[in-house]
Amino acid sequence: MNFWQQLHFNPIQNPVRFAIDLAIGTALFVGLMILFHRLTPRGKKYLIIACTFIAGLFTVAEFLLPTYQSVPAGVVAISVSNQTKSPQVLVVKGPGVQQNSGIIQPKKSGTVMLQNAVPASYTLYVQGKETQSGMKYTLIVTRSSGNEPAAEQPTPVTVTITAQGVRLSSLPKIQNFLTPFTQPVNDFLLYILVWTIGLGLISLTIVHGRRLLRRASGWHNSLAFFLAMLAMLVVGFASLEGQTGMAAMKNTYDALFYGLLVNLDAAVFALLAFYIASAAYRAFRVRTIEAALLMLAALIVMLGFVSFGVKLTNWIAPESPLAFFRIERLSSFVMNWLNMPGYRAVVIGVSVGALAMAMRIWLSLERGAFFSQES
Amino acid sequence: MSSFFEHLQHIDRRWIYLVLAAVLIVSLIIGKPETPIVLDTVQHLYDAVDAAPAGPGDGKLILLETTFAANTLGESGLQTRAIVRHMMLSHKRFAVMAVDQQGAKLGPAIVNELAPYYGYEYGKDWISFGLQLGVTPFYKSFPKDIVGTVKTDSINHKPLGEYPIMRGINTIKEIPLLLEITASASVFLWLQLVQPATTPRLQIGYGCTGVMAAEAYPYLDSGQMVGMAPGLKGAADYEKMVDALEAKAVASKEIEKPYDPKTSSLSGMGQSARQLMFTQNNAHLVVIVFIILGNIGMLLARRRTRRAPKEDANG
Repeated sequence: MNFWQQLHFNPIQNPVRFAIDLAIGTALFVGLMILFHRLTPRGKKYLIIACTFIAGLFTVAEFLLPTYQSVPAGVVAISVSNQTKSPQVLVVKGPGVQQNSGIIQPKKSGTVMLQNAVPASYTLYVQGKETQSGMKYTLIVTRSSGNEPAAEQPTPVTVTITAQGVRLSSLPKIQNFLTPFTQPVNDFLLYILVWTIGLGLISLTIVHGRRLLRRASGWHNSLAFFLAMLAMLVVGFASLEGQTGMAAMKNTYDALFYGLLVNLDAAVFALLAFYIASAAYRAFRVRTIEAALLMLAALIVMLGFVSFGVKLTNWIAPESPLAFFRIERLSSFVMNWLNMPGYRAVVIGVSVGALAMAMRIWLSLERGAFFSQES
Repeated sequence: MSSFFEHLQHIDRRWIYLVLAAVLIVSLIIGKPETPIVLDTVQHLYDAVDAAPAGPGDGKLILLETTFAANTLGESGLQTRAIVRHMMLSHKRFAVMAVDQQGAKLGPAIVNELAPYYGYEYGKDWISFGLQLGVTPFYKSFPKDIVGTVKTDSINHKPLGEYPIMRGINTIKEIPLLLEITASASVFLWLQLVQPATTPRLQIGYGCTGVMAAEAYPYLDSGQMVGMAPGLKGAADYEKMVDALEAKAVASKEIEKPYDPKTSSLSGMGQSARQLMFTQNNAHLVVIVFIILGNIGMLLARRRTRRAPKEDANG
């Protein structure tokens, strides 16, 4: 990670520095929001197009660009295997390393140690035969979070020198110059998600607040919303570590979560059983051949998944020539031979469509809600 | 008579609700455990967990994703419990995570209930990665740097590197098996974004709700999924095999007594999956009976209306 990345994407341990950065960040955010709101509809449109394109470009470029090898930070042991007929000199240059070198004899192996390697790019120079003289190879030492302890044991990087050149092995080819940014982008998305939760809360508060103040129809539901939201917010924050009365609040939070939310959620979903029973009774009528086929397939699969269905055909021995007609095997036949090809065809079709749709969204050719409103 | 056939076709939904509720309540009270015939897909999942090199000396761990909410505890929760019991009985080390807020609490809660039974210690034998953001960058960065992406555990909020279980766990190469217990489409992100980029291919085991099972068969056929536990049936099948394994562990005095689901404080998990399968069987039977009644009513009424014009014509 270079200085720029370190500055912007590493956790800040100093509380004063953190407070200053937070204040600057908030001010910048508010300033940007004001600026964006003042933009004309055309300006907003181009801003959205640019942001969408850059975001898509990052993902595409990170996926398509060639990758190179990386090792964790700490003590790096570079094991060199010289398969050529002449001595090879290996030189390592990079941050914190003046010049680590080693001469590796023909058909022998040796080790070059890189003490206290920091996350950075190192350059290996391999000298020997004239054709390979000065040949460079980049070794990336990475570790995403800055507070990681250095590895106690050397992490081996194996370099094999052959007449054809140098090969780094025993490490996966996993990254390119954009890869270290995937985690900060992940964090950035997390912040956006948190902001959207905040926006959602504000929006709900406005809607339900109006209804409550006007005593409009269903105002008691709005009151229940406010009570539930405030209870979870207050108890949730108060039960965080380091707060006074944390244990009591944690118990209250658990009571609200496991005692109320979980049970309510399960109870609401359980009502589906009754609706499904009623709907199945009304919908599954053998009015046409297609309906009969649908019902037959549903019946076979349903019976194959319940024990009494399996017991219906238990009299057929599993080794008998009629074993295919055991209900669990019929069910498996329906799922594997009838359902699977059909579903696979649907998935392939949907995926091709999704690709086309993704391209349209990336290039802002799709008319979204915002553009529709503005035009 | 015709009114009877009409009535069979249009039974008041409140009668259906009442019969179903009565059957469910009685079945739950009886709670007779079923002994199901194990599905092939569940057997394959069990075998994959058994074969995963995630023992104490293997330097690897199984990743268990519990992306479900309380509304599917009856299926996903019971699958999770059966699989965790299996991992604990076969001394596998594992990490729990979720991309759903409720699942991030429910998954570790299930493990916490089981850990004392099997002598599992947090940080040494299992760890919780907590809630992760299920978006593309997560699936891109997690396989390359697990510690850097997850950063802290969700129980003690300490850096992952401080836990003994995380020694040597850096990339997805140290995850021999991903067990995705989900009620959403989260498994497809692993299939699309992570599995193709791993060599050897990341093994994925799948636990889903009953209605989602049909979607998984193409992936089982292609080998992208090593096994599947569909719905409550999958949980009951898996539990049957784990119960047999546990009986052996009790006989060899490896553990004191078998796990008792009645000790669970989680909603809908106070009975075993095999007991709840009995209830589900009876509920299915009620649905089938009502479907048959509706069709009998319709067919008889149709026959009657066909005969009626002929009788009128004959005079």
